[in-house]
Amino acid sequence: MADDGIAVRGLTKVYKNVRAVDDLSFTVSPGRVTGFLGPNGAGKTTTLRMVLNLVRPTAGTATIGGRRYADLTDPIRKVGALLEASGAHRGRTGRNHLRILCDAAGIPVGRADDVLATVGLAPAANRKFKGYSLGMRQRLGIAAALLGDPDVLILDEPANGLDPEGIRWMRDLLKSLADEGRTVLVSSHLLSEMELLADDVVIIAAGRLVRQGPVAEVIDSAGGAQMLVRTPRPEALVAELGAAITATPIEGGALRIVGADGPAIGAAAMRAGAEIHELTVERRDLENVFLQLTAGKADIR
Amino acid sequence: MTATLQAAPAAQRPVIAEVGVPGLRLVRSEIRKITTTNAWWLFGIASVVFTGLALFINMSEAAEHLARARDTTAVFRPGRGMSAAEVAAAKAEFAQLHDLQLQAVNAAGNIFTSGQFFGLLLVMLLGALVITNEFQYQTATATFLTTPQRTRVVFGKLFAVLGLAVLFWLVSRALSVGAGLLFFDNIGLTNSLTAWPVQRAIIFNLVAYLLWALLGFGLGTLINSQIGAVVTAMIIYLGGFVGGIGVFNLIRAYLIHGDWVLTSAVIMPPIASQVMVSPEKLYPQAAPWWVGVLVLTGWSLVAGAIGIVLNRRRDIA
Repeated sequence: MADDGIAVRGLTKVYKNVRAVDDLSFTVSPGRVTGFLGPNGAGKTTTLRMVLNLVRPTAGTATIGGRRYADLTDPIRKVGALLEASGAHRGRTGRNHLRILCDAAGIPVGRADDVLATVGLAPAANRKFKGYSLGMRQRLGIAAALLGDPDVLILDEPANGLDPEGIRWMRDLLKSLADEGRTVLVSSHLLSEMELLADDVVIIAAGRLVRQGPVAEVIDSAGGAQMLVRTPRPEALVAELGAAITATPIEGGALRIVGADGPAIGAAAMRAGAEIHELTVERRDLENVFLQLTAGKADIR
Repeated sequence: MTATLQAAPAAQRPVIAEVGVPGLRLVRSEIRKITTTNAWWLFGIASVVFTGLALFINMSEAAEHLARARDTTAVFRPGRGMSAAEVAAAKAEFAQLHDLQLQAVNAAGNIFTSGQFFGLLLVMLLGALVITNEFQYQTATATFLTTPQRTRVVFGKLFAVLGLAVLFWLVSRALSVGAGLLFFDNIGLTNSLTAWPVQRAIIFNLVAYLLWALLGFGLGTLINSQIGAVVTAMIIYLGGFVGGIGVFNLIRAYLIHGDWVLTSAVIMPPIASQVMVSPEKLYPQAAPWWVGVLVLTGWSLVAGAIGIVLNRRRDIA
């Protein structure tokens, strides 16, 4: 593990009756964007807050570059974080909010204007926080995370409240930060966005790890590609394909076939004398796999 | 990854200087927190207004008392049917009321510390707000991310709060001393600023500002809910002034017959504060002034210490 990775080992948080996070272990590598996924209430936010020393773990450890967050000498120069349920004083301007953080971290206050410009908030720097839209608040949070030019970024639902342009901006920003060799851990509900953004994913449900790995591997691990076939003689085709495949009829008289590829289905159809009206590869996407992996574990606990 | 194919562009990462004195960074950050919102100057205006009002009341009263003391034609006349003891008491009181020097010192003490009743309440509330604001506005997350050592944050706030208390005291005293000097000059009397009882009143007024700010701060550390801390602070302050000694009088009259019951009333912060600032005994059984200092400090330390311990373990979510 390189210097700036995040390592979570056996992390557990028990509230009164709920194991919010249950013996969770995973690693996050530098130079890559890692998506942190899970249904509502899976324990994502609790996990991130434990990594950042805001919530006390019941058991287990979380380290960043081998050290606990509380032991970092200059935490915001090392780690930038954006969390839900964090804010600024309603009556304080965005610039002053950042300057306060600069003061506490020993960073020159001029840095506040730099990061405001980076997130496109410079024109609103002197407006009070209460006048900010949800998207502007989110940008201010990202500006705060960037203050110390950190090697590690931990972002909880950063796309919340952003418009399509803002989401694209965020995607480009996070990708470029990862390309510079930084560690980026980002939680989100937006699975299609994650598929575009993330190199790796960590999927949790009910506080436990479900799957971790590069996006493509995780998708493949949930089963191979599926084929969609439309034919007037489905029974004959299925009989010819044999017992190694599973075929499920779907709406409109088509079949979804798992376990055989295009050439195999084409050959079988020819032998069976079944006319083929349509034959398409159905690529599985992250959403599809996510729902399959977390099925039945997504209840509100 | 593409990063392995193309040499990563030598990222223009900014060089961020290290500024500030390590121990004072947090204090500076906390002072900026206070000065970048409206509460401090709204409270400041309130403090100035109350000081003005109190000056007006104290000066009118002083003018009356001083006029009476200067009336050399007044002669003591015992009332009809008074016992010898009553006559002696009435005579002593008459002598005090007509002792110009004593009246001048009393008037100076009152005038030069005008506005402390509300001033102390205001710094106490500010002390509570400084810490509860973090939870009210969910800024605790950003604060503790920047400084994971939570106890250091608490001490940074403590110094900022004490500084603010001194500032409030300074403004309020500048006003009342300025107005008081004009007042005494106008009626052609000494301003008594060289008299120890007057100097003592002004000095202990500062101690009171610091201790009440400390107590408010301790309450805020203990009770993170803003409304909870503010209501508790007001009950302790106003409730103690209004009904405090009355409760102890009742206890002494009906439950425990001992003067120490009245002396122990000093355990209530407002009575401790009055015991401390009074040049003479507040009431015959009152504890000495330094007990008042200890009681106020003690409550602040207890509340603050429990608050700090809870704060270290608390989940910020």
